[in-house]
Amino acid sequence: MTKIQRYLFLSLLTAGAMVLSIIEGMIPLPYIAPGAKLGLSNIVTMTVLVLFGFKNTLTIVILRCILLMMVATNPISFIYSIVSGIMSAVVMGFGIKYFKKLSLIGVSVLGAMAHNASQVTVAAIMFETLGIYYYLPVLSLVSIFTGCFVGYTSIYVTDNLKKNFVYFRTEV
Amino acid sequence: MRKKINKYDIALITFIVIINCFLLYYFSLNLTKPKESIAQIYSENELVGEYKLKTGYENEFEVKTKNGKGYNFIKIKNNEIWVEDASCPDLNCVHQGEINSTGQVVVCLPNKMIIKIKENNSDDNDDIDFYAQ
Repeated sequence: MTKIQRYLFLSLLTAGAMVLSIIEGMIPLPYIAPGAKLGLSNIVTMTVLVLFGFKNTLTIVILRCILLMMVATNPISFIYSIVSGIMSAVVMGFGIKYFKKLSLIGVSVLGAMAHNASQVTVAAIMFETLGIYYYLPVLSLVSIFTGCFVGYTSIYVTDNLKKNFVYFRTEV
Repeated sequence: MRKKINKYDIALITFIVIINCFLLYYFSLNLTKPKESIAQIYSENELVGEYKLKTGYENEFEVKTKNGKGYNFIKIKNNEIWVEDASCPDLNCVHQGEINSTGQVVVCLPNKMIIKIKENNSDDNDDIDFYAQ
């Protein structure tokens, strides 16, 4: 894969992640806990992590957060999303590299945990109170389901990309 | 490799579920329902109001952000306090419902507003203590 092909794929995937983040807000969901979301953009993070490696994933996460702030949200949610995005990317990268026995589902559940924990921590720092940690167990239990969903989806996406594009057939 | 869910995933998920259930149980131990408690309302990290929650006391008021654009409409009734309406698009604070025990919170991330509940230790009989808004 040449440099320009890689850039092309990464930019397409960034655009996809952005669209997923915006669409996620439009899906009506029953209210469970504050800040409980599907985390659809983690599918893209996961896919890039498997196909392109850790450095490109960090690039994509930071790009997505900045672009999303410019298009749809505000600087405050940018802080939340960038901290949690980077933390979950780091944890998932660590999981893929060192916990080889876990499938992508387990890795994505780990990433979802890291996402929640860092988001609640940012909120606790912003509000200067530890009382917000009261919501963390509920959020984590919900995110097990969304993490499994994201893991399954990224298995299908990576399999299909590897089947259809010759560049991805080597393991990263 | 990495194709299907395997026993290590299930072990990890079970482990996480057990830890979180334990945490939930631990946090619920700290929730107490005193006879009289105080609801403290913080907006942008400043205490803007303290209200006593006791039987027979009702109140409703609006907490505004400093720039005047965001608001949270708060109601107190039957020892409980909740957010009735807010300016934020997702209405997370409204969905968080009524709270009545110490340790519980209602947060509104966009307006940076938080309601905390603590036990009332003083004996004075004033209903409301207002702070500068």
